[in-house]
Amino acid sequence: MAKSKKAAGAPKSPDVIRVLRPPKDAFNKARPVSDLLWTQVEHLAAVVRRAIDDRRRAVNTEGEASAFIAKMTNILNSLNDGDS
Amino acid sequence: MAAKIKHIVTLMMENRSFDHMLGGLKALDPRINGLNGDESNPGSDNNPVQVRPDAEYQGQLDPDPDHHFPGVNLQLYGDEGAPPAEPTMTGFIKSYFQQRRDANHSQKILYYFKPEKIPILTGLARNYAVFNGWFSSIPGPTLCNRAFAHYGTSFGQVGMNLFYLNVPYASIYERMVNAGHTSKLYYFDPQSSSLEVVNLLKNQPKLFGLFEDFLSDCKKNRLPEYSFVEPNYSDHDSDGGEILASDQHPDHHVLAGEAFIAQVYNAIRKNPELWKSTLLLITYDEHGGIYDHVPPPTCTPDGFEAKASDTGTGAPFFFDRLGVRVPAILISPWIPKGTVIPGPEDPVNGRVFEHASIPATVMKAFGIDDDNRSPREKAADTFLDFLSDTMRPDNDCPVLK
Repeated sequence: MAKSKKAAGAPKSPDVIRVLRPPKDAFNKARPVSDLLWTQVEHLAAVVRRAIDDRRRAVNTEGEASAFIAKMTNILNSLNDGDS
Repeated sequence: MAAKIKHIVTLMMENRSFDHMLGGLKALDPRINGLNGDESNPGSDNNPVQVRPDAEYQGQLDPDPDHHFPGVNLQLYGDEGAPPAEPTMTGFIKSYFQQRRDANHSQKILYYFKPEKIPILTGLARNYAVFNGWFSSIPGPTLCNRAFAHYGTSFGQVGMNLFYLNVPYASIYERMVNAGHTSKLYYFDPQSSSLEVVNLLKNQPKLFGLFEDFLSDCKKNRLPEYSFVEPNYSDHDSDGGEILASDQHPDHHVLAGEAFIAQVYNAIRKNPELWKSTLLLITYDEHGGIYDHVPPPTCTPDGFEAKASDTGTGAPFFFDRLGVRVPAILISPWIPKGTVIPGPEDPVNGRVFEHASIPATVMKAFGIDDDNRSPREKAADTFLDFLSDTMRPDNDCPVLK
């Protein structure tokens, strides 16, 4: 049976704009790194070095040293996890 | 501000020019300052090459077109002059030819999209407000341009240096929080992270969230008063599987960016409370070396100088002219459908916007009085006045599916 038509005067639905999807083969994590991403890599490494240095210089007590050591150990663990 | 707006959201994509993305709309609406189809640039043999509506989603702009300061200088002026003359916009093919020495390939820098190929960006442009005159802040690359959106200046940088530490002006996010407001940068995920690395260093995690937090905050009415959303900058694996870069930076797939824009729009659109109280700006950081036909205008000098050794052009730069034009679309149910904001093509009513317009508008919107801002930001035009007094009915605002 044919669907009944909408009653005259019924509120119109919003326009729908269809989202086109990229094909699966667009994914390419082997693409050579761009200038932008390489810059981001460099900058993140630089700010992490800076953040670690700032905290290292603030160590004065055994308690502060142990807290710093724990953080550094966790960082190394997470870095090594990423390699496995 | 119009009291109805409680939230401003900026989504900044990567590296596409106005004409490349929206130039084809001129055929559908002559008020949009896009392309006639007869615009041209000298080819590598100096014969004119015309623009073509043949842009593809991926594979055409590899290698990544040059968009560092000297490369953009060539794109703007060709061989026909130099600042302070007006840019001729004639060096795009010459610039791209230098990278691969392939005459046919270099012409692709003039290609633009048929509007139906990118229905989200072109559909939003036609349903809300599109700026004819929104320019990148510097004729240069990503980070210095993004800095204008965050700080209203790049502190004299024209390249990819980041260290805005101990600088005279705070970021718009810090200014918001210091004034008792709420603000956040949402980056896509830890693998993509933020390009705003200095703020990451100083203010992580206070000022930062992930994109999934943005979606959740929209749903739960927890969106800050000012938000800046970053797309995904890389193809990478995640717990959920393969994730495509969504920033539209060449050579990333343009449709992944379309889907991301739709996701941001829908997150706001689907919450009625948020929808009626939010202003969404979608723009691009810079043109990525891709052709645009509108010469960037001069602007208020920024008070900084980039030395000749930093610009790479043999001349210093005083931040007194803008970069290449980029797409910019303003979205809210308070914006009349089909608004076209005139730019330099209209000498009477035209207005010029750039990324410093973003912090300038946010400051104005939330009534923050702070004189300690860059000259560029103070002089930048703002965009709250495009909000009307009438909210469009729900069925007049498109849904994206």
